[in-house]
Amino acid sequence: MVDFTKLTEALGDLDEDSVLEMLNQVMDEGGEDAQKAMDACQKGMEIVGQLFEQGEYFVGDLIFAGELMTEAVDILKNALITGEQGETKTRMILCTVKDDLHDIGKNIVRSMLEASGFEVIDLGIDTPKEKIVETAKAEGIKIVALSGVLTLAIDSMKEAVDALHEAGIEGVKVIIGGAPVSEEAKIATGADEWAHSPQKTVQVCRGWAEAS
Amino acid sequence: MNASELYEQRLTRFDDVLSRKLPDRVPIIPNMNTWMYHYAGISVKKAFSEDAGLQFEAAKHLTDNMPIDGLMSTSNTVPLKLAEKVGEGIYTCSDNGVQIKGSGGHLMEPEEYKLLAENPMKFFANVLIPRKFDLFKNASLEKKVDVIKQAFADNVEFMKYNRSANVRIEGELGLPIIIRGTNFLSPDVVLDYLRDFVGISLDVRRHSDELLAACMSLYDYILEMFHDTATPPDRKIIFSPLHLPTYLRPKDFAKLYLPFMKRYLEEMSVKQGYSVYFFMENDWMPYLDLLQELPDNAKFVGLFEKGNLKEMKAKLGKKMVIMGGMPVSLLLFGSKEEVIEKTKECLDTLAPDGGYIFSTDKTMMTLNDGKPENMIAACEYVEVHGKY
Repeated sequence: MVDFTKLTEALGDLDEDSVLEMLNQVMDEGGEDAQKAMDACQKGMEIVGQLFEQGEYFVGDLIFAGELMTEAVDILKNALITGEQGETKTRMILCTVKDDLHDIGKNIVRSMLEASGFEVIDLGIDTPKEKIVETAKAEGIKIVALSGVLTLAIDSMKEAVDALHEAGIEGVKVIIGGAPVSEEAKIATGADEWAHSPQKTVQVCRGWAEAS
Repeated sequence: MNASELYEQRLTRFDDVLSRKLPDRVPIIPNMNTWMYHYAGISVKKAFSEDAGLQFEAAKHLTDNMPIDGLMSTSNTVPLKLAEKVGEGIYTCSDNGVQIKGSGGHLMEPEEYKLLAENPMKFFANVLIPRKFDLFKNASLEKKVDVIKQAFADNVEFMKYNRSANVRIEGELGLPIIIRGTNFLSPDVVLDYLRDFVGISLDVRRHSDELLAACMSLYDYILEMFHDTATPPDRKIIFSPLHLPTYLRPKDFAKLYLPFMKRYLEEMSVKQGYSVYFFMENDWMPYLDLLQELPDNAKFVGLFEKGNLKEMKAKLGKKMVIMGGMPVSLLLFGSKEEVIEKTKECLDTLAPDGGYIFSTDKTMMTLNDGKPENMIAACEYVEVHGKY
């Protein structure tokens, strides 16, 4: 049987060979422990996030970690479907705001949020505020994460926050993330939180999900 | 002072800093990209494609309102018409400026590094270009040659268009346009155009030796192309935006990127006499010790987007000219007093003994990258207090 502490460690170390070997072993053994393996990988992703915050890991490592998680899900997915069903995930919106075409930060955050148990509705790049509001209304979303790299994203973030409030969506929380955001930008946009690291984004969103 | 005297005075200031002589004062060259068009109320799109006179008007509005010593460029750097003619490129222009479309740079797979390493020109011509542009896949040879000719003609037009503005900006305003040419270091070509972020991040861990070998060959090919343009070393600089480094762990940076910075400075600057300008994207603090390996006798400037200015000056001040210091976020959100205080800090920390160019820390695209009144206050402060 796979040692799940070792699996967590291997993912935290981004030791791809060991991670894949252990996951394949889980499946070779019938896949009954797929959920445990998934949980172990998710814990490993938390370690990756922490090491990034501490300056041990760099953005390239986060991208690699995201790919490793995708590989893990691919290996385990058949066993996961027949395994634990009915667990409801918190759904949230993530997108790069209007006029900004960068997606790398957004994609990293998506993989970290998904690893942390969120179901992320990714609206892509250059996202108009109308699409955000429409999706939030239609899907009953209470958590929105807005990404941007350019400083002009701040304007689009503000417009999106205003539009969400004007649409009267009760209790919706917005976090902004990316290079240009700051406490000042949070105040200027009317967002509820801001983050430079995916780890903080995950923590904030998790806090909101638990409180709701 | 007439325009040509002004030009000479400003360029000399820049020359002196690069040659590690003490200039009369700290040069003021804010990293103003398309900000200057927004400041002048001029459409970026129009200035880039319809009326080169608008580039001049934007520069004039700047020099009318604040004391600056040069523009890095007029920012119209991507021949969009050419890209459109051969098929869609990865750049797009709006009134906010030119951007790379997200994740548009994935064109090859890691298994192909070997082919790239063997012969970059052949691989580009026979594999990558037909893959990227349908036109080169299916068309007859005559048609392909015709499109290439047209593309060259478009490029010549594009350069003439920009030159008409540059000549007026330098001649009538006495404002030097500092960048003379651009070279990418080869790992950034792989990142931006061939493998994109996800691809190269995986390759760094899975195929680092193949990646390195391909970058070595590509490096030679890039310099070969540069020398084909017969650009002589002069008082201006050759620009390289450094994109990949801070996504890498320092040990990967040491293996996959630093050797190219070192080789480039040794060949281009030390041996051939070019001055080099590195745009040092993101936070370089984890790499400062490794940068000690760069040559001491090269003429080069680094614009740092982030980091501890004091530590940078202490560790790199003797090796290179440091550019930057003023955060665009402060120019946007700060009061005039806060901006002046920060400007003073930049001068106190970075200006002693020369080797400093006052600039913003990030590229200024729109008015969100700084309120004009704050920008003016900062530049005026340096003009008065930056004298040696």
